[in-house]
Formats: sequence, C-alpha cells, structure tokens
Amino acid sequence: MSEVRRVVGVAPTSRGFGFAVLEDGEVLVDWGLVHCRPPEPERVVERALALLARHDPDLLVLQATEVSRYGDRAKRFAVLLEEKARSTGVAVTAISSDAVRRHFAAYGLTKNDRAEEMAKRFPELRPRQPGKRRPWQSQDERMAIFNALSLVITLQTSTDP
Amino acid sequence: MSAEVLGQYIKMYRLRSGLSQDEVAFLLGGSRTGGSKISRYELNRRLPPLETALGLEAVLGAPVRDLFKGEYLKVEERVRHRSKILRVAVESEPEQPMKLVRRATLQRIIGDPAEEEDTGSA
Repeated sequence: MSEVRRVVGVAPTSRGFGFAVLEDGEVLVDWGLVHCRPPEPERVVERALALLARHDPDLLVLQATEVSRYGDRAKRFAVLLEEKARSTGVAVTAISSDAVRRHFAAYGLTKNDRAEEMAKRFPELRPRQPGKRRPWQSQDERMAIFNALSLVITLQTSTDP
Repeated sequence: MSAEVLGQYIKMYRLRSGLSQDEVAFLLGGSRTGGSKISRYELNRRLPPLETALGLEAVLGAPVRDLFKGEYLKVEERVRHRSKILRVAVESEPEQPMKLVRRATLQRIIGDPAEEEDTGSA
C-alpha cells in the first residue's frame, strides 16, 4: 500500500476551528471551518478528533498557545486537543507564531500577505481568502484556514532535509 | 512514520471544483438537497455504485482511480498478488501461442520485475 506524509494543521476560532490537511507537502487534501454551538472546548475537541479519525495523519500541528494572544477558551481547546490526540496515537507538535512570521517574512508581515502567498500556491483556496481587514473590523473567521495551513507549511519547511 | 493513502479524495476534488455537496448530488441525478449521500461518500461511510463513481469522474474531472485512490491501490495490490499466483500456473502449462500473450499480460500487471517481492513463485 502506498504511503504518504499527511499533516493536519488546526487553528482555533471563537466558534470552533479552521483546519488544513496537506499530503507530502504539496497536495491540499482538505480544508475548512468547523463551528460548534456553544463553542465549548470539549465539544470542539470532539469535532477535531473526528477530523483526525477521518484523515489519520502522521502529525497534528497546533499553534503554541502559551505565548499567543488566544483567549482562554482557545487555549483550553488546544491543550485538550493535544492531550486527546496523543492518547489516540497521533503525534502532535506546536509551532510558535514567531516561527510562522519568520517563515513568511519574505512575503510580507501581515496575515493578509501570508494568505495571499498561500492562495497563490494553492489556488483552490482563493474563494476562501478573506478581504483586507479594516482597523474597525474583527478578524474574518476564514483566516483560520490560512493560519492552519501556515502552521503546516512552516513545519514542513523546518523539517525538510 | 507515514500514513496510508486515503480511501477516497472526493472532497478534495469537490472543493477544488467549487461545487457544494447538494450541487454534485443534483448533477448526478439526485435532488437539489441530496448532498447527504455525497457526504457519506466523502466521510468514507459507504462506497458509491459504479454509475455514481463514473458520474463523479464526469463532474469532478478526475479519473475514478484518483477519486478512490486508496481503494484503487488496495484492489491493484490484490490483483498483482493473484497475478503472481496465476503466473506460476501459466509457466507450468505446455508451450502454446497464447501462453506468450498471457505471460506478457501478467508481467504488465505485476510490473517491474526488479521491484517484485519474493512470493515463492519464482
């Protein structure tokens, strides 16, 4: 049976999480947003575990939350997901937002620049690319898909031989 | 560590096509709200019948073997294994015109002899 390296990136949102699944570093297999109501971390984690069961990844990549600006609920979600994913045999790693920023530094400093770069590389993401955020607007939820993918790409590049 | 290829990649091709599950279901001859069936295929809960699989190929523009890559590889592996068994039987048959053709067919299925695993058939 053929084997591939499949990595799932998950980025929390206020209502659930965004995810991206990349195979062999170049095939974007799945991506999207998951909403839960109410967005209690335990419920959101259940949905994330279902995603992991479906894709059976080699690795789950999360954002290192201890130094991030995520809220308590998102942090609790990340901790719970890491714990439960490990208990089901999925390897988990965390990438700091600094590492992501450094990796994408060549393309610009903002999340928008990163999203633009990723949409160029994966044109299928173009319809989900949020418009430029105005200072008075809150973050578009769809950005979580790009955040999740940026974690996977950063990891991939840092572990490439 | 490596993961196995997924059973199917329908969702990936559907997302690339920009079509919703309901729209794909409609194109395949179902109702405009028949997306749940497509969802079951995408979640690997069931395999579609041949007509639907061919319909998916027409709608998503990807060959069935790519849409159901994992399933295809499983079938291919099974066929390859059985070809090796059949080849042993063919080799023991007396020489006849069709033997060469059959041997060539089995060799094509089995693939590169250099990559062949030892099955005790040689």
